[in-house]
Amino acid sequence: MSATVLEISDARRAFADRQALADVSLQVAAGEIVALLGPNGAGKTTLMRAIAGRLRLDSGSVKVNGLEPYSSPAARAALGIVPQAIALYTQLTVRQNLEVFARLAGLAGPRVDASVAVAMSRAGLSDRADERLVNLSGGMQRRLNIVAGTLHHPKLLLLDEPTVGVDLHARESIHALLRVLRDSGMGILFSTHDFDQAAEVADRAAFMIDGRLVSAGPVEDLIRDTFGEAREIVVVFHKAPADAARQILGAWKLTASDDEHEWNGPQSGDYSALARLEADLQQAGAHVSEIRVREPGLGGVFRHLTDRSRL
Amino acid sequence: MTGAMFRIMLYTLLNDRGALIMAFILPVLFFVVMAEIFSSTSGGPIQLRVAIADEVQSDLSGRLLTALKASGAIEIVGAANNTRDAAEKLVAKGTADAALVLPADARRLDDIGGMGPPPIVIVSDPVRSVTVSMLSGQIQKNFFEALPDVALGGVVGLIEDQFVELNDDQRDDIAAGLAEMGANARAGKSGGWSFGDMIRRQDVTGRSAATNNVAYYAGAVAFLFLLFSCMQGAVSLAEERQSGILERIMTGPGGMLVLVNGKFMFLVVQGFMQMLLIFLTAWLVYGVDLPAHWAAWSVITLTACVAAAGMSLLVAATCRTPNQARDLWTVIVLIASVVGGSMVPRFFMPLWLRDLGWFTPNTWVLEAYSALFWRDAGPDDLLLPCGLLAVAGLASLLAAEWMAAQRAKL
Repeated sequence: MSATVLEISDARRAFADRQALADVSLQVAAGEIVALLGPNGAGKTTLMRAIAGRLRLDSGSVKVNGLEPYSSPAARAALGIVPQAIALYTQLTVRQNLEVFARLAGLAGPRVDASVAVAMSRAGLSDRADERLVNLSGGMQRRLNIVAGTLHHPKLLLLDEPTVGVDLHARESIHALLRVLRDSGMGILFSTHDFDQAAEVADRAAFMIDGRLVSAGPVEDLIRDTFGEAREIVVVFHKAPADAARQILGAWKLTASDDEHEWNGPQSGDYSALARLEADLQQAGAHVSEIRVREPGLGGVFRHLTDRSRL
Repeated sequence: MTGAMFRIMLYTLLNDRGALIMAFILPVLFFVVMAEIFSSTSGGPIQLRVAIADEVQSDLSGRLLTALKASGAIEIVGAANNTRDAAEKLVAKGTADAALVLPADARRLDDIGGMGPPPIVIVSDPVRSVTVSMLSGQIQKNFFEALPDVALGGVVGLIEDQFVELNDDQRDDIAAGLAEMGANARAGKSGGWSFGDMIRRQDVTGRSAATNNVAYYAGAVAFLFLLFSCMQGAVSLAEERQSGILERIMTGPGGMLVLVNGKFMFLVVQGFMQMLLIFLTAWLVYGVDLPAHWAAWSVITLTACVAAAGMSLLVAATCRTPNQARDLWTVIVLIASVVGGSMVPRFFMPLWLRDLGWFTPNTWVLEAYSALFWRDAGPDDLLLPCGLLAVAGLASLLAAEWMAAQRAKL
């Protein structure tokens, strides 16, 4: 079994009367990618800041490579940080950016050049080494942003929304890069709102809601625990349905998205019943634009969890 | 690791041609323009543009005006003789610095101590009030030199009125002497009635005023641009906080100290190079004696750079956003530069404004340079300005470190 590089136990942190973290426990092993999912304000950023050693917990503990990052420089040295924004110098070239971040991470002498060469290779930017950041595409900048956090070969890499604002092709290249880093033995924890990304690249996912870690585990297990052998049905409306239609949807155990235009839930067995659902909704005055059946994903799990947390 | 932050600043500067020009070319060009302006307006005689309105048209008025024109101190503008109204309009339009009016309805020029309106009127624009003093002095000088018989005759009249009555022989002798004096003056010979030979001008520095002005402006322009270029570097502190770079650096072994101190080091070195370029230009082109004052100049410049770098970092660390830091620092630089003497020489300022200038680093820097290049000041004279600049800079640096650390916790 791989060594644990991050161990969070019963972490609690409050801001004034708001409990930002409530008894959060989570582990990340070396060579593992864990996705941290949850709505805005769920506590993901607070947890990331605590792991980065930027925030003291009220109680509980965070250990990176066995040490408390808040008080231990050695623990922080085992961490790599990749902020959501492109945290690089726009006027510097690819090589210059990596060189200075390697030095700021404590490397010196020939280790700087070696580390920069590896990072450029991993990011696929060896042939763009002397180009300034402003001349790179968004995807290239994202990849450079990631490898700049790995120059000192950290045990644990923290990423905040690593693929935000990039196109599909760039996203796939970033996923490939994360897998390369994982396969090199790095533990990776990334926060995201993108359930498809999480399902695609993460080995495990952890859901946070209102400061609590409500569910965590391998992606397939989370989906199976929520949906069993059922598939997911999705009903899409032009506008949010009225009360009569909502009662019908509730009877089918479907839950709504935030804007209530999309409702989904597990469904197994007789899919011909969906024709009856559509007819009932039409009769209730709702304008259904689409009903579909699909393989369940983390988005469905998330809606199931958030709906449960509201109850 | 502080060196790594220094490298970041250096690479950023070297990779940005615009920033390079702003930091090193523009200040030198700006200084050259200022030096050209001020080196040509100092040391030599200043010629006033004067409009003449001689309503009297007498022998005496003619002699006075001829002497004034011959002195080279004034340049006649407008017609050789204008109406009073036309002369006033020339002043109002700015064509003439002043008008010299000899009104027909006033006392005669030789009626010294008499009653009635004065025989000479100087018309001036209030914004050029200094021209009244200059023209007035020139008229007095020429009056005594070109009309000595009139001036002395007036004095004799006053003596007789107030002190002693002369007899007819004495009056005849004096009249003959005055007539000879007048004839000599008309012939361009000395009338023997001038204060010119009683005054000798001596410059304390032994250098020309033009060179001194260039030295002043070298310091003024150099420090002004130093403050502006420090802003660019210091604002990056706020940009790093906003972009997430700070988050990345804070996790590393160096932390906030590396960030602030690295920037401080770079700003000091960059500022020193910037000021060196300007003073080298002042030496090579305008003859400011930099080699003779090399060591003291280095100390003043270093402490000026320390002050500018420390203060700019404190402002950047205090502000929440780069724009806020940029705006605040611009306001500070402009006010400090105006009050402190970087834009207008301090010796042109009213006393209260000069006193206010002591609250700005500009004044201390300029006073230190002035003491060095104008007055050949020794180390004792430079201790106070340099000490204050260094203390202000280092105290600001410490405060910036503390403030940046507080901001990073948010």
